Amino acid sequence: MAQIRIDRQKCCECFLCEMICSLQYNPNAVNPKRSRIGAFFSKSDLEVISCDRCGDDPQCLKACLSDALHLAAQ
Amino acid sequence: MHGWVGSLLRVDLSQGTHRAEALDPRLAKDFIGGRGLATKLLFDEIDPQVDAFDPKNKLIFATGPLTGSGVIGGSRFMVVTKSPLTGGVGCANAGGYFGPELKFAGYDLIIFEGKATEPVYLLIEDDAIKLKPAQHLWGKTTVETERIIRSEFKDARKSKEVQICCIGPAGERLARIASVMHSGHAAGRCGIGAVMGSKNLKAVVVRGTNGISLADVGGFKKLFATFSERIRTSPFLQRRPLYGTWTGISRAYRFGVLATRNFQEGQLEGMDGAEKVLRERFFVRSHTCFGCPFQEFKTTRVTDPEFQSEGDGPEWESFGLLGPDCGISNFAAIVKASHLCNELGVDTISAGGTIACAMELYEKGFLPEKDVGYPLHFGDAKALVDLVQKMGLRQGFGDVLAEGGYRLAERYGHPELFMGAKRQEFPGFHPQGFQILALGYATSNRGACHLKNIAYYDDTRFETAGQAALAKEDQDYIAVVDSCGLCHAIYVRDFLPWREEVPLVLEAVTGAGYNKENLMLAGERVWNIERLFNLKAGLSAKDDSLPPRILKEPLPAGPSKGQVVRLGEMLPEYYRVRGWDENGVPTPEKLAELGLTREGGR
Repeated sequence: MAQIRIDRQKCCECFLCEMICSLQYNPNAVNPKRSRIGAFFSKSDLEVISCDRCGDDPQCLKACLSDALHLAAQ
Repeated sequence: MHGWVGSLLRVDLSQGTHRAEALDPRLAKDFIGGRGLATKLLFDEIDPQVDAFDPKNKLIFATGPLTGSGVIGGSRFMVVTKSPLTGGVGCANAGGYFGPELKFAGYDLIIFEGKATEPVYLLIEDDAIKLKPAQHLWGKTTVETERIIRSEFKDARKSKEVQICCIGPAGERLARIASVMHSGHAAGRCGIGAVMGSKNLKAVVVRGTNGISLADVGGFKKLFATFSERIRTSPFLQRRPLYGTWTGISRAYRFGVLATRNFQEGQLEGMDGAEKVLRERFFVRSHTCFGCPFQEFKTTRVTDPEFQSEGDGPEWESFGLLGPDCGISNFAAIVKASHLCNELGVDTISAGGTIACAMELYEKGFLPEKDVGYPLHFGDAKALVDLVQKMGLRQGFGDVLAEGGYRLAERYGHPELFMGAKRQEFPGFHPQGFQILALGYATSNRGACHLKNIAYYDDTRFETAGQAALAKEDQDYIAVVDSCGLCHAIYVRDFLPWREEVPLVLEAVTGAGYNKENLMLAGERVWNIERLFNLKAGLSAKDDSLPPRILKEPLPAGPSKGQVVRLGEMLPEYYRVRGWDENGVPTPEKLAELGLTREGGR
């Protein structure tokens, strides 16, 4: 199954992905610390906590304006 | 509440106590948040005539309902207090990550009251609030202070996730042009850092783990997609990561409005294409703010042996005042001076404007060499760096400079050589090339400011007709942007339909009943509560003025050659469109329309 990966060179740490992710899982509330992906803290790769890629329509990929996120085969 | 988290934190530094209070939803809606709500609270809670350094003055950190709420560019926080520089309402804002983190901790605002007996900093971890001793941080630069505070967290995650605002030595020493710094982002103007220093408050440290509730997630997501697409296809997204605000230098040069040698001229040789020089010689990396892909901010490094340094910035206005306005085209020295300002916690714009004023005072023979310690000519790069350092530490002649340009010029008997408005130094655009900006500088409630009006780069820039109404409209809209917690770099662009859409996104987030009409009225309310504060503080129509040079001495050369500011043609009209009387006082009818009748009462 494909996995969400982050390109550290491109990520500008704007949190848009985490905010949109948190909205998927925390009804009506923006909260990056409840996001299922963690772009900010992890150093090398994306920190992923039980991510289901939003049913293969990952909202974080759409939200990222820096093209830092992509799907990669595991 | 949605958008607002519904709580303010009140900290009594004299008693060492704190308590959370519920936010009044009606007040929040009427004054939006950020700049507006904080000014209203300041107006209600202090005597506007109190001395800025009196413990009775209050210092307010305020977010807006869109700060941290997922809206692109919703990163800003505002610091509001009575200004020791202007004597009126002081406010300055910054982006970064501090504002959103404060909301995630559960607070829309923090109100600091009184004065701590010893240096302290405030630590907020959700509802765990502590005032901690800061003796070991006192005297440290802003960069050092952040580093030390982060190093004191044992948990690596917390150490990275906490967000920090602090003052440097300048704020501690009550420099009237001291800033508040947050990870290289400056809430620079109005001397707010000195008020923080007067309260013995070194830093505010925050980490939050809660969410911000949205009223209409579906509506929000649709707007998010619209904004995203527009930004994705915008040429700004291509250019901003490359040069940030640096292109402003070339643009000001090409229009002949690059303030040069204390505003005697509008161009300095070598400044066309400055952004390319900065990028090639000093650029290290770009970084950004919460919720923004533009990556405007630049970390820079100077390797020239004489001016070695590394840090964030300069933004174009910082560059303009520390460079061309001081007649300096040595890029290495300008970048170094800007780094120093940030480290010491001095506002870059006021620092540059003050040194430029000193240089002119010296060249005209009004400032004796013995006071400075050496000859002080325009273009002296070494002197710039030396004086910024001394200013931040209040050493030698720096002690005088730390009081700002107005007090400097007055001390040496020539207040007319101070280039600013309401005792605050002008930003980098020469007002003689833009009548509307000149009107904005003169009427800005926080003193001369580049962020209250829009420069229109077209044939209307030398005209005075119609500028008053446009200036008012822009000022009210910008008051909305500042109060929502949005960033100018995205939302203050005259050619995009943001003015239609900001009300929509604010309504999707808050559900408070906003539409374009009542939101613009709220912006006007914010402008008027600031005006009322200033009037009660003792400012009046005579303070809506510009230096005689700007009104009488035409620009000598360049694309804006021959221009003077015709303020007299615009100001009476401005008062009229504002609904103010000929003395610049809001009329009872205007106050009633804005719901400010009680506030306007004598």
